[in-house]
Amino acid sequence: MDVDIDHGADYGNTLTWSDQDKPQVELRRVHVQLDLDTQRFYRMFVHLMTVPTPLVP
Amino acid sequence: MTKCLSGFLFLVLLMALPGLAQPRRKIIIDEDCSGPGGSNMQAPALLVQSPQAEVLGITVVTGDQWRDEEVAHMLRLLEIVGRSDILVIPGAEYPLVWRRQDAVLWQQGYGKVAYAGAWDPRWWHPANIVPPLPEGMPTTKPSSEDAAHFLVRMVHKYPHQVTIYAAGPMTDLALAISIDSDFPKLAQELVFMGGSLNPQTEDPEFVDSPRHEFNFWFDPEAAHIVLRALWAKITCTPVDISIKTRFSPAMMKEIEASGTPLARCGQVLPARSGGGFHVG
Repeated sequence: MDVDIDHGADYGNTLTWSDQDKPQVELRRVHVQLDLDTQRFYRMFVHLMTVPTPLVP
Repeated sequence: MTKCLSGFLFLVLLMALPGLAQPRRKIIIDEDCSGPGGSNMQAPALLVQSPQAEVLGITVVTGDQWRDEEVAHMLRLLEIVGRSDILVIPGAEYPLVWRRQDAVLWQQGYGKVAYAGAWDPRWWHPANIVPPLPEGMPTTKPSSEDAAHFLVRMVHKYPHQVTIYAAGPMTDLALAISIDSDFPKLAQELVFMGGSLNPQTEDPEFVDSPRHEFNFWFDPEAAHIVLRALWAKITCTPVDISIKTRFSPAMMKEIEASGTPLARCGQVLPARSGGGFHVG
């Protein structure tokens, strides 16, 4: 993954490649999350927003 | 609004957090902490609330709002929840290269963006102005250190133990990398909201430009530096997943009914119910 830094129409756009077509530069593999368990997320969100704030450790 | 569903990032992060019997995961939150309400307040609030996370500090970068206004919102949120012990560290006030005037000229040539954060003409004001906060002005002060040096200092203090959670433009991280090339190597992981691949939505912001995303667009050079750096691990939460959840009126009602300081102040809630978590 990288970002287009040419100052044209695509400036700032997301660039992605696979191992097969990536440019010949050193790039780190990026794990991209594309889906989630929405119900689990909603439960976690509401739970954390409704419990007392943990005390200072 | 960091066009980000920061909450999703939390899911990734929190699901990966260790159990209660294990040490809490050390996290630095680097974010454009706009407020009141919205995902930029929800995100740090969730991590502060989690017993599995140890928030070492919150570095604040200009993005959805100007840095100083965001610092004030963040300080006030921590006051409300009683966690003013957590450091708030000011980061970059401007992106690495371009400025609002550049963005205006760019839009004249290539088309108007749907959202321009602190530069958006709908609510623009000078960077050094902090408007009165609806939730009240903070009495606590930010750290005297700057974000980049704090980030570098923390990964040297806790090598391979600090997760960088980035949910805004990447200016602070790029500066830290430029100061110390060991910074990304010494972090445990980078987890960030940014980028857009092929979002399935009718939102014109993404239909017309599916690869456009605010955090990258606001400081492209910074994101480029960060993505080229040698992190041990990188996890990305793009727009594609951010648009898959909605903050429902039922959730809002349940949170409000809890009566906690967070719920009472409304700081954690989106500006409108039923919207995505990326509402800011």
